[in-house]
Amino acid sequence: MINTDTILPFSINFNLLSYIDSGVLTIILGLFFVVYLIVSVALYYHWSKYGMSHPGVILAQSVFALGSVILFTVAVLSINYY
Amino acid sequence: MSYDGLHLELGENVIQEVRKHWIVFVGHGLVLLVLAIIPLLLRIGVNIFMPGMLNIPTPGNMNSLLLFLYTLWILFLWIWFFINWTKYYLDVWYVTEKRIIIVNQKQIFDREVSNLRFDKIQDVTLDMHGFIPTLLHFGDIRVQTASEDSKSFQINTVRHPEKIRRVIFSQQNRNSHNFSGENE
Repeated sequence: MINTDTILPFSINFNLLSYIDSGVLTIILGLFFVVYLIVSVALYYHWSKYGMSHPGVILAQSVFALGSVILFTVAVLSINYY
Repeated sequence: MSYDGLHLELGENVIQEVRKHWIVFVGHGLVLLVLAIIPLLLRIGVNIFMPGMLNIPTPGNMNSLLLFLYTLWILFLWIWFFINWTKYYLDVWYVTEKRIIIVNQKQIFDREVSNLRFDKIQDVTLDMHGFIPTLLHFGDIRVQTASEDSKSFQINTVRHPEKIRRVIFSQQNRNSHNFSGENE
Protein backbone atom coordinates (compact mmCIF):
# COMPACT_ATOMS: atom_id res chain seq x y z
CA MET A 1 0.00 0.00 0.00
CA ILE A 2 1.25 3.47 -0.84
CA ASN A 3 1.16 6.20 1.78
CA THR A 4 -0.56 9.02 -0.08
CA ASP A 5 0.18 11.60 2.65
CA THR A 6 3.85 11.54 1.71
CA ILE A 7 3.55 11.46 -2.07
CA LEU A 8 0.52 13.66 -2.75
CA PRO A 9 1.18 17.36 -2.16
CA PHE A 10 -2.56 18.08 -2.25
CA SER A 11 -3.44 15.48 0.39
CA ILE A 12 -3.52 18.23 3.02
CA ASN A 13 -6.64 19.56 1.27
CA PHE A 14 -8.43 16.33 2.15
CA ASN A 15 -8.86 17.82 5.64
CA LEU A 16 -11.54 20.00 4.08
CA LEU A 17 -13.62 16.87 3.68
CA SER A 18 -14.05 16.71 7.46
CA TYR A 19 -16.19 19.87 7.22
CA ILE A 20 -18.50 18.38 4.60
CA ASP A 21 -21.64 17.22 6.33
CA SER A 22 -25.10 16.51 4.91
CA GLY A 23 -26.06 20.19 5.35
CA VAL A 24 -23.26 21.31 3.04
CA LEU A 25 -24.20 18.66 0.49
CA THR A 26 -27.85 19.78 0.63
CA ILE A 27 -26.80 23.37 -0.07
CA ILE A 28 -24.64 22.21 -3.02
CA LEU A 29 -27.56 20.17 -4.37
CA GLY A 30 -29.92 23.13 -3.89
CA LEU A 31 -27.62 25.46 -5.84
CA PHE A 32 -27.28 22.85 -8.56
CA PHE A 33 -31.07 22.51 -8.67
CA VAL A 34 -31.47 26.27 -9.22
CA VAL A 35 -29.06 26.14 -12.19
CA TYR A 36 -30.86 23.03 -13.46
CA LEU A 37 -34.23 24.82 -13.23
CA ILE A 38 -32.98 27.82 -15.22
CA VAL A 39 -31.55 25.60 -18.00
CA SER A 40 -34.68 23.40 -18.00
CA VAL A 41 -36.97 26.40 -18.41
CA ALA A 42 -34.84 27.56 -21.37
CA LEU A 43 -34.94 24.09 -22.94
CA TYR A 44 -38.70 23.64 -22.44
CA TYR A 45 -39.27 27.12 -23.86
CA HIS A 46 -37.34 26.21 -27.02
CA TRP A 47 -39.04 22.84 -27.34
CA SER A 48 -42.54 24.24 -26.98
CA LYS A 49 -41.98 27.38 -29.07
CA TYR A 50 -39.85 25.99 -31.90
CA GLY A 51 -40.33 22.22 -31.62
CA MET A 52 -43.55 22.30 -33.73
CA SER A 53 -45.06 19.58 -31.50
CA HIS A 54 -42.77 17.10 -33.26
CA PRO A 55 -42.93 13.55 -31.79
CA GLY A 56 -39.14 13.65 -31.27
CA VAL A 57 -39.46 16.75 -29.09
CA ILE A 58 -42.26 15.24 -27.02
CA LEU A 59 -40.14 12.12 -26.48
CA ALA A 60 -37.12 14.25 -25.53
CA GLN A 61 -39.18 16.20 -22.97
CA SER A 62 -40.31 12.97 -21.32
CA VAL A 63 -36.84 11.38 -21.29
CA PHE A 64 -35.26 14.57 -19.92
CA ALA A 65 -37.83 14.85 -17.12
CA LEU A 66 -37.67 11.16 -16.20
CA GLY A 67 -33.85 11.02 -16.22
CA SER A 68 -33.64 14.20 -14.13
CA VAL A 69 -36.07 12.85 -11.52
CA ILE A 70 -34.05 9.64 -11.22
CA LEU A 71 -30.72 11.46 -10.90
CA PHE A 72 -31.99 13.97 -8.33
CA THR A 73 -33.53 11.11 -6.35
CA VAL A 74 -30.16 9.31 -6.30
CA ALA A 75 -28.46 12.56 -5.18
CA VAL A 76 -30.97 13.03 -2.32
CA LEU A 77 -30.63 9.40 -1.25
CA SER A 78 -26.83 9.63 -1.25
CA ILE A 79 -27.11 12.65 1.09
CA ASN A 80 -29.47 10.67 3.34
CA TYR A 81 -27.02 7.75 3.53
CA TYR A 82 -24.02 10.02 4.05
CA MET B 1 -47.26 18.26 -36.09
CA SER B 2 -48.01 21.96 -36.10
CA TYR B 3 -46.08 24.52 -38.15
CA ASP B 4 -47.80 27.57 -36.65
CA GLY B 5 -44.46 28.96 -35.52
CA LEU B 6 -43.28 29.21 -39.14
CA HIS B 7 -46.04 31.69 -40.11
CA LEU B 8 -46.76 29.94 -43.39
CA GLU B 9 -48.84 31.71 -46.04
CA LEU B 10 -52.34 30.54 -46.91
CA GLY B 11 -52.15 27.23 -48.80
CA GLU B 12 -48.43 26.84 -48.11
CA ASN B 13 -47.29 23.47 -46.76
CA VAL B 14 -43.99 22.05 -45.58
CA ILE B 15 -42.80 19.47 -48.12
CA GLN B 16 -39.54 18.50 -46.49
CA GLU B 17 -37.67 19.05 -43.24
CA VAL B 18 -33.91 19.01 -43.65
CA ARG B 19 -31.87 18.11 -40.59
CA LYS B 20 -28.32 17.09 -39.94
CA HIS B 21 -27.56 13.38 -40.01
CA TRP B 22 -27.94 11.56 -36.70
CA ILE B 23 -24.24 10.62 -36.84
CA VAL B 24 -23.43 14.22 -35.81
CA PHE B 25 -25.42 13.81 -32.65
CA VAL B 26 -24.01 10.33 -31.98
CA GLY B 27 -20.56 11.97 -32.00
CA HIS B 28 -21.66 14.39 -29.25
CA GLY B 29 -23.25 11.53 -27.33
CA LEU B 30 -20.09 9.43 -27.43
CA VAL B 31 -17.98 12.29 -26.06
CA LEU B 32 -20.41 12.68 -23.16
CA LEU B 33 -20.43 8.91 -22.59
CA VAL B 34 -16.63 8.90 -22.28
CA LEU B 35 -16.84 11.85 -19.85
CA ALA B 36 -19.39 9.90 -17.80
CA ILE B 37 -17.17 6.82 -17.64
CA ILE B 38 -13.91 8.61 -16.72
CA PRO B 39 -14.77 9.06 -12.98
CA LEU B 40 -15.66 5.35 -12.73
CA LEU B 41 -12.31 4.40 -14.28
CA LEU B 42 -10.51 6.77 -11.91
CA ARG B 43 -12.31 5.18 -8.96
CA ILE B 44 -11.31 1.69 -10.11
CA GLY B 45 -7.72 2.88 -10.66
CA VAL B 46 -7.52 4.41 -7.19
CA ASN B 47 -8.97 1.24 -5.64
CA ILE B 48 -6.31 -0.86 -7.34
CA PHE B 49 -3.20 1.34 -7.18
CA MET B 50 -3.76 3.71 -4.25
CA PRO B 51 -6.37 2.20 -1.92
CA GLY B 52 -5.15 4.34 0.99
CA MET B 53 -6.18 7.50 -0.83
CA LEU B 54 -9.83 6.89 -0.03
CA ASN B 55 -9.22 6.34 3.70
CA ILE B 56 -9.87 9.97 4.46
CA PRO B 57 -11.73 10.94 7.63
CA THR B 58 -15.16 12.30 6.71
CA PRO B 59 -18.19 12.92 8.94
CA GLY B 60 -20.16 10.44 6.81
CA ASN B 61 -19.91 7.56 4.45
CA MET B 62 -17.21 8.08 1.80
CA ASN B 63 -19.02 5.96 -0.80
CA SER B 64 -22.19 8.05 -0.41
CA LEU B 65 -20.15 11.21 -0.86
CA LEU B 66 -18.55 9.85 -4.03
CA LEU B 67 -21.96 8.74 -5.31
CA PHE B 68 -23.34 12.23 -4.63
CA LEU B 69 -20.50 13.90 -6.55
CA TYR B 70 -20.80 11.41 -9.39
CA THR B 71 -24.57 12.00 -9.62
CA LEU B 72 -24.00 15.75 -9.90
CA TRP B 73 -21.46 15.12 -12.66
CA ILE B 74 -23.95 12.88 -14.53
CA LEU B 75 -26.68 15.52 -14.09
CA PHE B 76 -24.34 18.13 -15.57
CA LEU B 77 -23.64 15.84 -18.57
CA TRP B 78 -27.38 15.06 -18.84
CA ILE B 79 -28.19 18.77 -19.19
CA TRP B 80 -25.31 19.26 -21.63
CA PHE B 81 -26.58 16.34 -23.72
CA PHE B 82 -30.03 17.90 -24.06
CA ILE B 83 -28.60 21.34 -24.86
CA ASN B 84 -26.62 19.70 -27.69
CA TRP B 85 -29.68 17.77 -28.81
CA THR B 86 -31.77 20.95 -28.88
CA LYS B 87 -29.17 22.73 -31.00
CA TYR B 88 -29.03 19.72 -33.32
CA TYR B 89 -32.79 19.31 -33.58
CA LEU B 90 -33.77 22.95 -34.02
CA ASP B 91 -31.12 23.58 -36.67
CA VAL B 92 -33.37 22.80 -39.63
CA TRP B 93 -34.45 23.83 -43.14
CA TYR B 94 -38.15 23.68 -44.01
CA VAL B 95 -38.79 23.35 -47.75
CA THR B 96 -42.30 24.54 -48.67
CA GLU B 97 -43.97 25.00 -52.08
CA LYS B 98 -42.87 28.64 -52.14
CA ARG B 99 -39.62 28.99 -50.26
CA ILE B 100 -37.01 27.53 -47.97
CA ILE B 101 -37.22 28.61 -44.34
CA ILE B 102 -33.72 28.37 -42.92
CA VAL B 103 -33.44 28.10 -39.15
CA ASN B 104 -29.91 28.36 -37.90
CA GLN B 105 -29.77 27.44 -34.21
CA LYS B 106 -26.18 28.45 -33.47
CA GLN B 107 -26.44 28.38 -29.70
CA ILE B 108 -29.32 27.88 -27.32
CA PHE B 109 -29.99 31.65 -27.26
CA ASP B 110 -28.65 32.40 -30.73
CA ARG B 111 -31.22 31.66 -33.42
CA GLU B 112 -31.37 33.04 -36.95
CA VAL B 113 -34.32 32.52 -39.33
CA SER B 114 -34.04 33.35 -43.05
CA ASN B 115 -36.51 32.98 -45.92
CA LEU B 116 -35.32 32.06 -49.36
CA ARG B 117 -37.81 32.25 -52.24
CA PHE B 118 -37.26 29.80 -55.10
CA ASP B 119 -37.06 32.57 -57.70
CA LYS B 120 -34.02 33.96 -55.86
CA ILE B 121 -32.09 30.69 -55.99
CA GLN B 122 -29.27 30.61 -58.49
CA ASP B 123 -27.58 27.35 -57.64
CA VAL B 124 -27.70 24.44 -55.26
CA THR B 125 -24.46 22.58 -54.72
CA LEU B 126 -23.82 19.53 -52.65
CA ASP B 127 -20.58 18.30 -51.25
CA MET B 128 -20.31 14.66 -50.28
CA HIS B 129 -16.81 13.33 -49.93
CA GLY B 130 -15.17 10.61 -47.89
CA PHE B 131 -15.94 6.99 -47.16
CA ILE B 132 -18.35 7.41 -44.21
CA PRO B 133 -20.42 10.22 -45.78
CA THR B 134 -20.82 8.13 -48.95
CA LEU B 135 -21.69 5.03 -46.97
CA LEU B 136 -24.23 6.78 -44.72
CA HIS B 137 -25.50 9.16 -47.42
CA PHE B 138 -24.81 12.51 -45.82
CA GLY B 139 -23.15 15.67 -47.05
CA ASP B 140 -23.25 19.47 -47.18
CA ILE B 141 -25.73 21.55 -49.17
CA ARG B 142 -25.13 25.14 -50.23
CA VAL B 143 -27.80 27.31 -51.77
CA GLN B 144 -26.68 30.47 -53.54
CA THR B 145 -28.96 33.39 -54.26
CA ALA B 146 -29.10 35.27 -57.57
CA SER B 147 -29.75 38.69 -56.12
CA GLU B 148 -27.29 41.58 -56.27
CA ASP B 149 -26.14 41.00 -52.75
CA SER B 150 -25.51 37.33 -53.49
CA LYS B 151 -25.72 35.26 -50.34
CA SER B 152 -25.18 31.61 -49.69
CA PHE B 153 -26.82 29.40 -47.11
CA GLN B 154 -25.23 26.18 -46.03
CA ILE B 155 -26.24 23.23 -43.92
CA ASN B 156 -23.67 20.57 -43.16
CA THR B 157 -23.91 16.80 -42.77
CA VAL B 158 -27.53 16.46 -43.90
CA ARG B 159 -29.16 13.15 -44.76
CA HIS B 160 -29.67 12.35 -48.46
CA PRO B 161 -28.44 15.67 -49.89
CA GLU B 162 -29.17 14.57 -53.51
CA LYS B 163 -32.82 14.02 -52.66
CA ILE B 164 -33.04 17.45 -51.06
CA ARG B 165 -31.42 19.11 -54.05
CA ARG B 166 -33.93 17.32 -56.30
CA VAL B 167 -36.84 18.57 -54.18
CA ILE B 168 -35.51 22.14 -54.28
CA PHE B 169 -35.02 22.04 -58.07
CA SER B 170 -38.46 20.52 -58.70
CA GLN B 171 -40.11 23.19 -56.54
CA GLN B 172 -38.10 25.88 -58.27
CA ASN B 173 -39.23 24.57 -61.70
CA ARG B 174 -42.85 24.35 -60.57
CA ASN B 175 -42.71 27.92 -59.25
CA SER B 176 -41.15 29.28 -62.46
CA HIS B 177 -43.83 27.44 -64.56
CA ASN B 178 -46.59 28.85 -62.39
CA PHE B 179 -45.06 32.32 -62.68
CA SER B 180 -44.75 32.15 -66.50
CA GLY B 181 -48.28 30.67 -66.72
CA GLU B 182 -49.67 33.61 -64.79
CA ASN B 183 -47.91 36.06 -67.12
CA GLU B 184 -49.25 34.47 -70.34
